[in-house]
Amino acid sequence: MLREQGLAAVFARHARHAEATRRAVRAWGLEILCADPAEYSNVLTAVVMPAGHDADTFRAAVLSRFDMSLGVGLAKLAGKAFRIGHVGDLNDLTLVGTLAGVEMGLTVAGVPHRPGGTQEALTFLSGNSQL
Amino acid sequence: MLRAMQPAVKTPPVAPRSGRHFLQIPGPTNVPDRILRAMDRPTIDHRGPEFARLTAEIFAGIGQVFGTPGPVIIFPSSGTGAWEAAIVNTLKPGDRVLMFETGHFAMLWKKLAERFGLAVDFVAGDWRHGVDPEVVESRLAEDRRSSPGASADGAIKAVMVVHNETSTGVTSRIPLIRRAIDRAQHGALLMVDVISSLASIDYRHAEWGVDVSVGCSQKGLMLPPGLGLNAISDKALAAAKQGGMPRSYWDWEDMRRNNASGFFPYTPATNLLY
Repeated sequence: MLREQGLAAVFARHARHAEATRRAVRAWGLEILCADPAEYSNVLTAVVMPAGHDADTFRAAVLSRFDMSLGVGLAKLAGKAFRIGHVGDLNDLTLVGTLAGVEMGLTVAGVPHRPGGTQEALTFLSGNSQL
Repeated sequence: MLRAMQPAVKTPPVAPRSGRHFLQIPGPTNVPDRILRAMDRPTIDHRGPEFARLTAEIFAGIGQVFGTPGPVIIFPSSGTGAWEAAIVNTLKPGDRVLMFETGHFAMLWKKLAERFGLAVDFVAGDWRHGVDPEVVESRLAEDRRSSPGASADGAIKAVMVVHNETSTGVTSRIPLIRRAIDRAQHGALLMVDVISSLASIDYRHAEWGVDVSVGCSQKGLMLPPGLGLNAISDKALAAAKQGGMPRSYWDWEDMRRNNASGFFPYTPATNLLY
């Protein structure tokens, strides 16, 4: 499958999905853990949880309400961050569904955020077939 | 099967679901239906001709994924096993290595290295940045200055970094790290954990002068967990021939000898190779 798609196209797809995800996170008013844009990961985005809110409570809400597993904050990030995976067998609509689940989950779990992150991703993805 | 044979363990009830579960963790990743169907076949004889044809095809293609014309070893293991293989084939207890605290997985690799008696120079980090190439250069230059009489290599035998730190979403820039090692004119091996970047983020084992790349099956390769991978440079192969630690399961030479004819020295993860 990698050979059919070509590695360059696979790398470009991950870069594009990562960019859409970061735009959504910023639009929600949340913080991306990675501090240097030159080092952003194209396979996952770790999101810092606003102070006073537990990332695992949010993840549990997303799992029970929307049947979606998000990455746990590991070791010293436990409860303080969650990770959105955008790696592997993924297309635009899977990513949009993922971001919609995150946005609804933020609401369900009572995590303060601005609405519209998913819309940011829709706008980016529909306006950019490739980076 | 095991689950069917054992008395039920009490777990919280799971509500019936419709539609597909969204597995949006950074690996193991969603396995495409096509691959699941390919695996859904009887296990074949791993000493038979069909298996040899299968592995010939795999070994012809897997190097391209790493960006190397050189050997790639496929272990039935997790990525952690491939970490261990990189160490035991090339280093010995007491060897000094340079590692960086980029996040949880860098910490785990360090812990593993220390269990093998490696002396780890660990550069602290804040889990929000990758490996700083300038620190690589200054540490290696300092190592050469402080090792008079030693070879041009200094005391540090390997620089071990995580390409994509899965715990933080930070990707270190391997070409810049390579150039930093070259600027310091240091002979240390460069080992890179590509567990969550392989086949997802641009990576070039040979062009970037990496000596051992450590990968696995369950991320960008879109397979279930179960394969650990090492791509190996000539320099790392030479280091393995001259030394390393006592090893058996993780021995590169055994693997390479057997792989040459399409087979493995012990039972491979047959169905993961289909």
